[in-house]
Amino acid sequence: MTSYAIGEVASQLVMSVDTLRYYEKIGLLPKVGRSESGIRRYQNKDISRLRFIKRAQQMNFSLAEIADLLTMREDPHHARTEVRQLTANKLTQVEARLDELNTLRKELTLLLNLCAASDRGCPIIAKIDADESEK
Amino acid sequence: MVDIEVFTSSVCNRCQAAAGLVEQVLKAPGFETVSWREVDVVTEIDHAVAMGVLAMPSIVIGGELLFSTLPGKQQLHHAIKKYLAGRSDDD
Repeated sequence: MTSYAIGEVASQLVMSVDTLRYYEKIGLLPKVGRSESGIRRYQNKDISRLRFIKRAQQMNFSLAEIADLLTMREDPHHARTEVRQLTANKLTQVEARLDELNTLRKELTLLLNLCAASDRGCPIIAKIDADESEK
Repeated sequence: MVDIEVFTSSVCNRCQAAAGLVEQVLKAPGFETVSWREVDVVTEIDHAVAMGVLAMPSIVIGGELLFSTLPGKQQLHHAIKKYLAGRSDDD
């Protein structure tokens, strides 16, 4: 079975090794298997769990919330009602963020098309400057 | 609500042509009650994005984005006629 050293995992997931050790220390990640010489060896299931943690953190979910979501992830059929409700709430949050990102995508596409149409300078820079001065 | 919105920008070469085309087509008999306005995409970017405008010139008729490029005169005439027929059905 393929396994990875902590440095490889840190590089793959763009996380620090300290963060990986910390997650294991606080129980967000179950104890990682060790080689005979005592070096951590991460399995694919560990990396999958870490990717989930990273995505959830990017949505500003707390570590406590992420811990609950992970119990749901491990065993959705036996999750507590509160955890199911938390999962539903977080899904709503993610969908709202997707809507925002979609609007931003459309706005940036529009601005780039404006830029492409112009041979008199780029409106994108002008808009960024205008927004900055409004703050 | 304005019937027709022509989304343009000052740096877009075909945008003036789009506004001119709408003005010209609206001179046709039966189109006297049709209102229109030119919308500067940079000044009203939120509205442009909400309408689904991604390129200029774009023409929105009755709140629906129908053209994302300069249409032909007949195409525009047909679209306005269809819109008016739908509008009178609602009255």
